[in-house]
Amino acid sequence: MRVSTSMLAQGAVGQLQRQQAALAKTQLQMATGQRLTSAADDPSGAASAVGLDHAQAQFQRYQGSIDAARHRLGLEENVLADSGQLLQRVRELAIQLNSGTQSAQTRGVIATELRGLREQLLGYANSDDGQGRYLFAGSQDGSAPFAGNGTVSYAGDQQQRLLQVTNSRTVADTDPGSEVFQRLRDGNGTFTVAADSANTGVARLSGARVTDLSLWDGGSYTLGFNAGNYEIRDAGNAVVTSGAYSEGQVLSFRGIDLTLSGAPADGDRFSIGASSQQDVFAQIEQLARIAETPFDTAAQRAQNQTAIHQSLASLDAATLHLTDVRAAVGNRLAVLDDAESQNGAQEVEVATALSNIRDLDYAEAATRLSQQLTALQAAQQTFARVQGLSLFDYL
Amino acid sequence: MSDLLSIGVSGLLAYRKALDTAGHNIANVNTAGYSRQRVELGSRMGGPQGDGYIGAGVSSNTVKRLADALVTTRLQGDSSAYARAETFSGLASRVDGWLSSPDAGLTKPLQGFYDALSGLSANPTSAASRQSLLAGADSLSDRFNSLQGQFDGLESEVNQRLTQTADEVTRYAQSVAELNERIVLAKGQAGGQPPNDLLDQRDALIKEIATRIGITTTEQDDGGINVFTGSGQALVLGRQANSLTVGDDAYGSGRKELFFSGGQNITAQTSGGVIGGLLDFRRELLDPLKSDLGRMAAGLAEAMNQQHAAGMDARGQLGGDFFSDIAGSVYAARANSGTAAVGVSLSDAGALTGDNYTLAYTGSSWQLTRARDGSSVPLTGSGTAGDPLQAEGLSLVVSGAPAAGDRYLLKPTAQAGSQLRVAITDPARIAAASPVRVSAALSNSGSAAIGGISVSDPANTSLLSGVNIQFTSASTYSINGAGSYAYSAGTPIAVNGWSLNLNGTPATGDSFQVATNGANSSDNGNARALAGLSSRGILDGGRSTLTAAQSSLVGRAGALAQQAQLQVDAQAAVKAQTEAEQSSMSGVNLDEEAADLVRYQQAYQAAARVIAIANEVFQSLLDAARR
Repeated sequence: MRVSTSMLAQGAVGQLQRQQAALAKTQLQMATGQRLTSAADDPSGAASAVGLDHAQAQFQRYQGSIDAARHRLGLEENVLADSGQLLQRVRELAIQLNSGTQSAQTRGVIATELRGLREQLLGYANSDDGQGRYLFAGSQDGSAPFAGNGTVSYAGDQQQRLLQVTNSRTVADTDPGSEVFQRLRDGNGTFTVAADSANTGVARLSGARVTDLSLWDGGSYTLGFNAGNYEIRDAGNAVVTSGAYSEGQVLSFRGIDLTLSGAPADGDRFSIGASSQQDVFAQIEQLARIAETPFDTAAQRAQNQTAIHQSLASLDAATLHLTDVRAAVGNRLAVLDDAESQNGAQEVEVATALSNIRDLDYAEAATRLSQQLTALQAAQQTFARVQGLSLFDYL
Repeated sequence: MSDLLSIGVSGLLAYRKALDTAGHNIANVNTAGYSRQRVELGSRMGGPQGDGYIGAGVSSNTVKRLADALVTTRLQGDSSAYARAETFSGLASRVDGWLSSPDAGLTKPLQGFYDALSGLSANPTSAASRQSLLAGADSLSDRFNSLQGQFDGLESEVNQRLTQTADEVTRYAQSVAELNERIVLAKGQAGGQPPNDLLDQRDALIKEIATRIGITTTEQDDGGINVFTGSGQALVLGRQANSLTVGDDAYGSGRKELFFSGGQNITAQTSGGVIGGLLDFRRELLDPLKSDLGRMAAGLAEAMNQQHAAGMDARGQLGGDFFSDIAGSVYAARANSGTAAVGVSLSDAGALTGDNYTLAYTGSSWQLTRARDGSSVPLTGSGTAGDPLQAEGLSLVVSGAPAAGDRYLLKPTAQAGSQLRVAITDPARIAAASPVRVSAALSNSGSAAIGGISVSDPANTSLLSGVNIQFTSASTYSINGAGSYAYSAGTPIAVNGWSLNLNGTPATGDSFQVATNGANSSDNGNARALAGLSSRGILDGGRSTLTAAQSSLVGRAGALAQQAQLQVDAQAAVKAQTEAEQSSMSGVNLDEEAADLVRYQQAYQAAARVIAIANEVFQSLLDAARR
């Protein structure tokens, strides 16, 4: 084939330019560490990289939510643990009070300590998350939820903030205070027993339990003693059950069992009614009030012991409730751990896929670079040699 | 011996011409479009003599231009195809660069926006997280605006280049027509001998036209060449040239189209060359990308506004628009005789197709046609504000009186990307909370617990009214103390636009209060739903998330840019091959010319020697006669 002089030069220059362009691209790839300099290098790869980038960012967002939830739940767990210990102390004081060896002065000290514990528990219930948001206020967490000296009022609501921690799971980052400290009942949770203040005997409640909840109708009943007999009347004064009473006998009616110890006097009465809502602050306050009532006579002591028995039952229920809430918080923290490791594992997968699409194989690129350099050098030398040849040099 | 003398002179003259031509070739070794020339020598025949014919020397018949018309024509076609591919590829790779660059594309601001929504969900009352959502939304809408701005800038660049290139084609066509005239004249003056250098000039000009627009050529007997556009219009007819102009489309939508001699619109029939590349780029890449970007903006605004309206802001009011409303663009044909104006609003982003439409009034009804393929799109409604014309996510309201034959061009989302704006500036107006909350009375003794409350109709006027649900038995309840409604476990209680789920069995007397969340609530119910938009299908009838739409935007630009680059490479190879072929035929090789110079010089010297011999022979004769 005939070759023209200008074609020879142009062709060689064109080749040099192409090789330099390829070299520039390799250089850019080596400098950025990225295989794709734009989507045109691998359109489908770049399109999936957009989705994978999104997924990766999503996992980081979930991690942010997990951290936020873990912070708040951790704080909540601490408060619940402290509250549980506080209730233990309340229980010890109630048992001391029950022992009957207390003087009016020591009972006064107990009452003062109980009120102090109540204030302390109120402080716990008004804990914040370190950023001024109250932990136990539902969605009204800008101000302290619990207030009041005698009766504690709740200014929060029952909302829970749910945080998305995986694609499918949400976790509540706190519990409303009403559900932790307030949704409790007095007595044993089903019914209450109170000794009449006019009782003169020394009979006191020593056992109160539900045997068959389906028979319990939630009504008001009166247990009365007269001449060695007992009778239980309902609110309409109709006799429900009656019989001869011997001390320590189990009295059963409407699916509940009552046990009294000590001898009742004729005319002594106990009233039995359905439990009603009573928050934990009121329970402690109630104990403090019992401590302030006179224990002077055996009858008074028996009346107070019945009341303390009831308080202990409700305190135990409150303690158990706090333990349940704490366990639920623990479960949520475990869910967070699980979500974190699940997200982490998936994020690694996504990062690997992204790296496969986008990242440069340096070994391959380095080989390519040296090949391109060699080729460019050879082309330049060839150009110089070929262009140096001319027949005119010999004429 | 005058014969030998004239033979020698003929050699001198012929080789002088040959040396001149070789010199001309050498001088033009680097002249673009130059075809090498060669003196065609022929032997001169002498008169008859008794013993036969003795030759009368050499003559140069013609100066031949070594060019192949077929190769030249092929090179014109290849130049057209290469220029088209290169123009397309250059523009496409710019768009591809914008969309796939981490700094200029949508990925970062979109992620930043989603991050801010998620942050709001974790910390709904924090001023910082509210502020960062506004900042994230601002930078997202800015990015939409600036991408749209870049696309618009590219469109005006396309318009400018069209105008400029059409002007160049017109000028080159005039030059070709002038050359045609000179060539025909020169050929006549030289007794039919070709004016080689003028032919080269004309071929070069025609190639310039071919790189700008696809053409065909036909050569006339008189030496003139006619040039036609792909649609068959004669750009050059002998010594007459026509113009190619660029003007506005029939709707004045800012789109430039191509007209032949100021009359006929030949945009649709034009292909090849820079103009073909510009038109293809506009049709295949720029228009769809603008529409898709707009569709994403419309989808984002609609989904965000809908969800935002279902929440309650920090002032205790229902959420307003988060992004300002996006409307479609309408252009009335200049030829319309009626007075009707058409308004396009986007009623359902999920049904939007990204297509442009023409709306025509037949005199009794409206007809909608897809601009891309001319297919008919069914319309419902009458066009009044109360009953708008509806089709494919569009809602069209006609005001004024249309005349039969009136036409409108609808570009529903082509400009939507520039309309995305954050509508709220006060962080407190971000509706992060659910509008309603529910609480169970503390005295409830049943096992029924709140399973959750959700807003199904944020427009319900009683949504924020407090409601007390009191169970009158385990299976009946009253609302605000009135009525008796059956309750069955698992079936939500729906009142006033909300719906409440309860788990467990309520006891008689249990009550649940539904109330508005009020101001400064740290509830995150709506923030969580807003954050959920990142994985919710918003476009294509709920099948595509915004991320998927963005991914297909990047993928489409990347694929077309890649394809265009492959075409450039392929066309460059084809063109290089044809150029090599042409150069092989027509290009000057200096070594060859050097050899020719030597050859012709030797022949010239030999011819001179023939004259000297003739002289000597004659002298011998004279010397013989003197004696």
